[in-house]
Amino acid sequence: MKRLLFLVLMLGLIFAANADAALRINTPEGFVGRNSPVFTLNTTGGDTYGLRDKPGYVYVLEFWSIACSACKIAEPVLEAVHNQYDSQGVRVVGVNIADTAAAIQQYVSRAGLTYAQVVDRIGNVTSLFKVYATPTIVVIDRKGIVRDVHVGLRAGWEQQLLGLVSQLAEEG
Amino acid sequence: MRRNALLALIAVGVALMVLGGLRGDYWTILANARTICLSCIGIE
Amino acid sequence: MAITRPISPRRTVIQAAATAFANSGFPALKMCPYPGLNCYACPLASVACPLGSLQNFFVLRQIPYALTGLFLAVGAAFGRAVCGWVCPFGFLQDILARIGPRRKRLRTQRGSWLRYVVLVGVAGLATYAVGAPLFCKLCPAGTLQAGIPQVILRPGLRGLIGALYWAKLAILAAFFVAALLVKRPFCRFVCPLGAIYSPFNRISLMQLSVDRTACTQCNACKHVCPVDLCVYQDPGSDSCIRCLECTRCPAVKVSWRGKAVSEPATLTQ
Repeated sequence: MKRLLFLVLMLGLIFAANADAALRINTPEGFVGRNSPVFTLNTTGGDTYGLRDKPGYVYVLEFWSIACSACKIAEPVLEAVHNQYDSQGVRVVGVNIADTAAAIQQYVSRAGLTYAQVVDRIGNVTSLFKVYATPTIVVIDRKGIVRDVHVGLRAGWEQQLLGLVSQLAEEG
Repeated sequence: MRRNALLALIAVGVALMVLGGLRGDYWTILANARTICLSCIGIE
Repeated sequence: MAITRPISPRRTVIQAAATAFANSGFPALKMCPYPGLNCYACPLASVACPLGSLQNFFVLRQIPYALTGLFLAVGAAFGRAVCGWVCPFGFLQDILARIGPRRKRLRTQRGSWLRYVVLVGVAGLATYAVGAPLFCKLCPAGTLQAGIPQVILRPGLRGLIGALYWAKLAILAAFFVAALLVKRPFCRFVCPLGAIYSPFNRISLMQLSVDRTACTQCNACKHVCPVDLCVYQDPGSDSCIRCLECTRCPAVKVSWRGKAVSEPATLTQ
């Protein structure tokens, strides 16, 4: 009897450990369908910018760095989304994970990008979202739920992003 | 090359490593090494 | 004077320990550039690759003070010894050389100038011009340590694989096969990091000296040399990785500039 109890206890512990590990989100894709982590960061101009600043907005986050050449491919698409949907309550924000505010400002003005840029050189928000690679794009709906995560830009990502943003912009 | 000149060169190297630290070089290295740049390593 | 054992166990242990340290999975050290070639994107990497970091600085148009200082200090002291003792990719090639056939190809240092072309052309000028770390895109060490494991560990990345990834795999496979047939092919002909350390060999504090009266030109030193260098012909060669395998012959010694020549290593056969 004692041996059986012991066995059940061990199995229970193993199950609990496994369940715990399984429930942990260790990639950003794991956030899809769940509440987005709440964050506040500084923009390149020094103002604060937070997820809860404007509740009820759609957020499109791009985790990027200047040295990342694939991120450059995403830029014009994000700029287009910003221009088209800003008035409909969609906030596009570039979360730079590696560079200084000054370097970002210089790069952004040269590239002609007008959407918001925040600085996460310390990496807190990056680890909050479990971002492990750039570019990573996270789309959050008006209720604060993560609806889509792109890690890298695979074929058809533009259509997927634009389609989702237009759908979310019409919601609520 | 004379020994003292080499020791001076090593000292210059160490000084540059310190100077780089003051200028935030190690932060730049860490910030870029913390996450994977997919295009840089040839996956993207 | 013959050296009978092909490789010294002490160096193998140090190489293995260095590889384990650089990939111990504690990312806190990633602000430190490692002196040898170890991809920062390896899932277990605990250090940053100096060559990858250098290319990043070129891309960002920043002067790499700290990295330059590291190369200067290490090179002026030890020359290319990093390659012989702490580089994981060099370690791999040494292992492959032992597994492969005894008779190797490309046994002269001809063509080893190619690595300078890779350094200046690919990792330097082209990277600066294009604005992306071009050597990293092709680096076989990166493919082995990061490109393959990341794609295995992260299913989400598999959809991204394209022509470049297959080209990288082909390059890695080619070097794998080559390292069985040729001693350290990557180090001798391609590695830009080795190219940075190489010129320091001629001037470094650490030197190899050959006792001409004791040397019988039996070529045992060349036989044990991981880069197929005929040591007695050119002990200060920029191809030498300062592994000190040849110092097991009493005619070859490590010397330090300005100091008396150290006692010869005892024959431990």
